[in-house]
Amino acid sequence: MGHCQRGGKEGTGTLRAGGSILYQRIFREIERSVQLHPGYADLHNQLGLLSMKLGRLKKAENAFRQALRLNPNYREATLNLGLLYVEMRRFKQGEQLLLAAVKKVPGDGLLRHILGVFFLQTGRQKAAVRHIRKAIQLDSRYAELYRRSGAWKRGTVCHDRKSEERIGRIPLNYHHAHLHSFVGLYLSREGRPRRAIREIRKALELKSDEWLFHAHLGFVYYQEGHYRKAVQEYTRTLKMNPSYGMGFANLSYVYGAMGRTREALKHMKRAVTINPRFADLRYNLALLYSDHRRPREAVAELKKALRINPNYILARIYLGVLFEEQMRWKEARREYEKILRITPEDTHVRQRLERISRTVRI
Amino acid sequence: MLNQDFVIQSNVRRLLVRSSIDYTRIDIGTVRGVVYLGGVFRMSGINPNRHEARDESAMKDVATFVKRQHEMVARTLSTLERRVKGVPGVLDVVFQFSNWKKEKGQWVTVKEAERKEPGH
Repeated sequence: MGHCQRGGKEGTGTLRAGGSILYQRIFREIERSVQLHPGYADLHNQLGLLSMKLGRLKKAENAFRQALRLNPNYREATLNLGLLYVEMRRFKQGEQLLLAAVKKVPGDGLLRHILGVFFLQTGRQKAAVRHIRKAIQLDSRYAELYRRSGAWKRGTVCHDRKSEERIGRIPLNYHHAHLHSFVGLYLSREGRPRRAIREIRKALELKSDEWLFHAHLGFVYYQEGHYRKAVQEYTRTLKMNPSYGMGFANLSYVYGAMGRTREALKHMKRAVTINPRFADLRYNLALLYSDHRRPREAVAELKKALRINPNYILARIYLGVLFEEQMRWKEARREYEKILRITPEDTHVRQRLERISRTVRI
Repeated sequence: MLNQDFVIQSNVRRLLVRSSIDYTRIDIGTVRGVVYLGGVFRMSGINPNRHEARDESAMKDVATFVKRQHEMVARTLSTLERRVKGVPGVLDVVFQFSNWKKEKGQWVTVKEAERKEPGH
């Protein structure tokens, strides 16, 4: 393997067998979930990460392969399996897998970076430099990473062996970081926010430029009511990935919980622009318009939501109420009747309909 | 003063995400202070179909297990109702779950409720 390096706090090197009780417990729970939902690629990928952490490399390989059988375009599972092969020193398989992946998605900077380091580790400098250059072209943050390592000078990768060795020392902590982040989210769902935050912070220590980890941290802070910190993390997320529509929606919810509906409205609008076919976001935007006494825009958003999903009962109820408030009785009545055709047992809507009939003769 | 439906919505959403409820299958709506919760009510880690009985004694165990699970879900629903009502600005809560409903102050599965109704 030539000058294979182990870098960073955890590195790609030998994974400690055994692991903590926490990882073993989550491993058992994920294993049970996999038995219950064998068709979820995500669960297999998570099982693979935990298996790696616990040093069960064969089990990890099977889990990643199963995730890829279920979803052949699963990027994380591909990267994890590729890195696992490096871990297991099965370089040929690792190379085949990563090259096939880069053929499918040639514009994936992280994949190029991993391939570059992979080729350096296997002593193939030329191929390594080609992929590293491509990574920098695709994402300028890699230039900074290589510059910090001392191997990137005057806009190019240095061609001396020393510089290449330095790049080889850049840790491939991708899977460790993802494991910590996933465990963090898992703990937050279990109601253990402090531990959750610690885990996600570990993920960020290993890979501070991963927007998804900042989003996860933002989510846990929101869950715990630390709204300012949640805003900070979501803001970082969206700076790194301005096309992450759900990030704008989540930031909007945080502002909503803070009672800052002006900012909530601004961010929910962005979320809807990015995800125009997501009826739930349009519903929430309608709530915000209505809260700001802009009923026309609220009605327009609800109508759009109902065009996307005509069975969206909550949107129809809200539309009916807005029509009632504007004394558009006929339209309100029409919406309530539509709801009762879908859910005839809805007593609240029936009462509203009866009230309209009593009040107004249509 | 502005209406606060979105503020309520965000706080109710937060209540759900920090509980043991599988919030991914729940629809939340807020209409002039009235909160609507619909969809399928499930708790994380509880699978309603995960019980098999091979013989009579095992069937007894399964029945006890199912009963306990139902009690736990019913307790969680009551707690949820109390907490949602405690969110500032909430006037009422309407539950429209497809699998659980409140009857005479008690939480029961929709199937149970249908069995009790005459004509079913």
